[in-house]
Amino acid sequence: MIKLVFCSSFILMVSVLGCVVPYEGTMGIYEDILVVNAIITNENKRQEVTLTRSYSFDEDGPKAEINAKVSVLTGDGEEYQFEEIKPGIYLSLIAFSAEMGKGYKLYIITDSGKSYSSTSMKLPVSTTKIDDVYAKRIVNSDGEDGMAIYINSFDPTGNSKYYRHEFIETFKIIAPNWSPYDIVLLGEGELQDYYSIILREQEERVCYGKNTSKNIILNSTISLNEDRLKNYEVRFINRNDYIITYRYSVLVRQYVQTPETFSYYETLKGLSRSSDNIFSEDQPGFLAGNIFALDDAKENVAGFFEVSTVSEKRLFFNYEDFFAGEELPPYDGGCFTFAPSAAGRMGERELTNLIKSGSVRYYGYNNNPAPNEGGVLLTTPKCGDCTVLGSNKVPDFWIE
Amino acid sequence: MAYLSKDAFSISSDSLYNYNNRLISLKWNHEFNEKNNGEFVIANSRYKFNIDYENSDNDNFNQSFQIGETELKFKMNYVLNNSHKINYGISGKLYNAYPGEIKPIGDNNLITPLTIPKEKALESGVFISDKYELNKKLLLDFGLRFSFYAALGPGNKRVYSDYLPKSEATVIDTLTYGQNEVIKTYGGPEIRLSGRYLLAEDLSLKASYNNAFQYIHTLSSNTTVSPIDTWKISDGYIKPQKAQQFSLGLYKNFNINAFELSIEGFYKKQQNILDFKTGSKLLLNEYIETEVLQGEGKAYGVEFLFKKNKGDFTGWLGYTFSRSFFKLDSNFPQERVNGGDYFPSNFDKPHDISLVLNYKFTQRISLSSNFIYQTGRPVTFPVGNYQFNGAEYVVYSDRNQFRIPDYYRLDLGINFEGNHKKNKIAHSFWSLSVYNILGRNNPYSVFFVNDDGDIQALQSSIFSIPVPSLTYNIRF
Repeated sequence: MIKLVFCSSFILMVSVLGCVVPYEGTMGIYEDILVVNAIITNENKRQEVTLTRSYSFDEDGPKAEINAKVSVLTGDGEEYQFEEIKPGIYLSLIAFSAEMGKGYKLYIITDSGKSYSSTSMKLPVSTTKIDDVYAKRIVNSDGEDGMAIYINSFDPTGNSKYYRHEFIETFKIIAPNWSPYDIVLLGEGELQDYYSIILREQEERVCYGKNTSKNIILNSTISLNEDRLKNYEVRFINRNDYIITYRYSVLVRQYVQTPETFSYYETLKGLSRSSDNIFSEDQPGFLAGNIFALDDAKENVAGFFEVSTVSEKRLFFNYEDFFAGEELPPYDGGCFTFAPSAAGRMGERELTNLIKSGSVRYYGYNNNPAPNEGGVLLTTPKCGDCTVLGSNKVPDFWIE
Repeated sequence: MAYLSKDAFSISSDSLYNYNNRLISLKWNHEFNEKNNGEFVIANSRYKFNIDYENSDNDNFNQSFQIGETELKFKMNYVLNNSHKINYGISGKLYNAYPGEIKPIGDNNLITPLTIPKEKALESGVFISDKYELNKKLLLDFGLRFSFYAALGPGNKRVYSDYLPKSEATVIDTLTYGQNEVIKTYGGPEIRLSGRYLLAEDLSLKASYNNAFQYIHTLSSNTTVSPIDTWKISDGYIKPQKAQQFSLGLYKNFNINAFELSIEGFYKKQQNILDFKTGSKLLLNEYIETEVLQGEGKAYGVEFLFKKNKGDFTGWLGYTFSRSFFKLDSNFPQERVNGGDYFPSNFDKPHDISLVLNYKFTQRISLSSNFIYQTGRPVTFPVGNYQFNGAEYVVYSDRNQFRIPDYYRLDLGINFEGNHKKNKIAHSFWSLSVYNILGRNNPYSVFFVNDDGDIQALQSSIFSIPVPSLTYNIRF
């Protein structure tokens, strides 16, 4: 006997069947975690350890972990004590450099009495350094015209293999709407307000800006025939970025890491990847470094105690070397001038109120004022005063 | 028998998911003599899904995944005597997996096309089992199977350094395998033992033990927007899962099957369960061995079920308490998840209540209802920010430390049957039902999108509003 069941469904669906919306439930609570940022290198200097705490999403920045006792111990029994020079920043009392073959451990006792220790870390077996750092003007794979900074490095012994790069760039800034003069408010009156043009007291035309690398730059040569980094790009600057307008300098630091350190940075980089879209997800979870709480094995400690060799090289170049005769890049966000009126009732005079607010700088006389314009031209602080974006002190290493 | 289905659904307005299933099987029975008969089965199944994403101009894509199996099985049934019913046979299964492909749609596209190479494997087994009726009260079932598995080429497989977690940066060599060349083999015995003892005419006790190998793994994640589970077949790096399970249950019927009551418990231990490393990419992994860890699992639970089968009012109530834990440990501290301790797995569901009630108003009109309540799935939350080397990073909690809100849902339906004349050619009935009548927006998954350091928490849900449906059924 055949028994067939035939179903015909006519389904009425109303509007959207599924959706993606902001999460409606309660989120995990804020977890207060000790964060250790410590790099000991083969440079002979007062080594630095930074201790902070994690902060909630509402806060802007971390709180320092102050009054902690910090020390580094070697396998041979040597001890390097650290002192706190600024909140959360600890420097070793004496200058020392990490030596090949020795195991280093970081010990921390916080103000609240909790103890932490790292696992024993050794320098990688390598003495490599950066051979060259150079810049080239290129059009990159996204079609952008700009400057690429490359390095070459070769280790004939083949022992380096795991590299991390950082850069610290310093660039000359010239405020485009600078004037030697400034405008101050002498007094307000019923009929008019009184102003004075004075000479500026400090250097505000030529400054030096600074920026450090934010992304983790990692590379390994393990799958190559030689332990060689050739034409390895560490930085790309779009030609419209104002930092290259006059003279630019970059200090590239090359760290050679142990496999364990390299692997930590790789995972950290993976966790912090920006998602391309809601489909490109990464597995979240707490990333454990190499520092552990001695009192409570379950306590999570963020950060890493890194012992690496480092080498650095500096590069200078001028905009003219590569973009001779071409238009200068627009100043950070662009600049403009405007002439607010000094007319009106007391307390309502635009020029006076702007000067009082401190959000303008003097540029020059307004020679052909339009009907509702005032007699002086003003500009934004960023455009009239280079100290907004940088420092007017010439860096020690700067060579014109 | 053949079955073909094709479905599509959408979770967000810019993407469309398609999945289809195809299953064909042919079975041939032959009776050799009174005591011996054999059956020969050939079956082929294929599951495929793809996602069409169209949001803006330059990152539209089509992503697909496919897995197919072709199986041949030959089984002989031999009735030795009144007490022993033996069956034995041999089977073979060929896996063909296409682990993923992404294709950009349209011009000016920034998506790089990627096709993950196809994978192939052959699983075969020989088995024998005996249903032994000792006496009227005791029935035993004993089975023994040897399974063999071979991952086959063609393919290129990487060799990694032993001193580091596997990653792009630790590849030391690549080996090439030809068509159907054996890459890796696994195998072992699988035992099944079960028994049923009649304590009384309406009260029985059942117990079982079995161990099994599973050569195909589900890679599922609870932190993606959608139910994208992909499958991975075992290979040189991914070992087969092993599981051992014990169960014990007590079953009672009342009033000649008017009521049924049962209580059943289980305990399961697993090895080589597959899960993702912290920070790993969840989709389209070309070298998945660099993104996963294999660890141990354990699960246990108790299920209680009460059924009423007769009368105007029928239905059942089920309650299950169960826990499922994974442990992902490693020689490399960076790979350890949650310190290498047991943590709730993505499938951990401590409480699961299910209530089905049907009421027959008249001969032709009946009401059906279905209520489900489940503990929310485990989830990993970001718990703050921290600064390291001058940049800001997000701190996450331990994996699966928290849970998303509990899931519950009520469906109601009314059935109208056509008249019950005996000699009709076909019987028909109408059914009007509402799925999720409470309209609860149960989150399916909670996940986070990192927009250049700004973390957004999003939830995706399916059928978040009441869905009415009208069905017309014909039976002939």
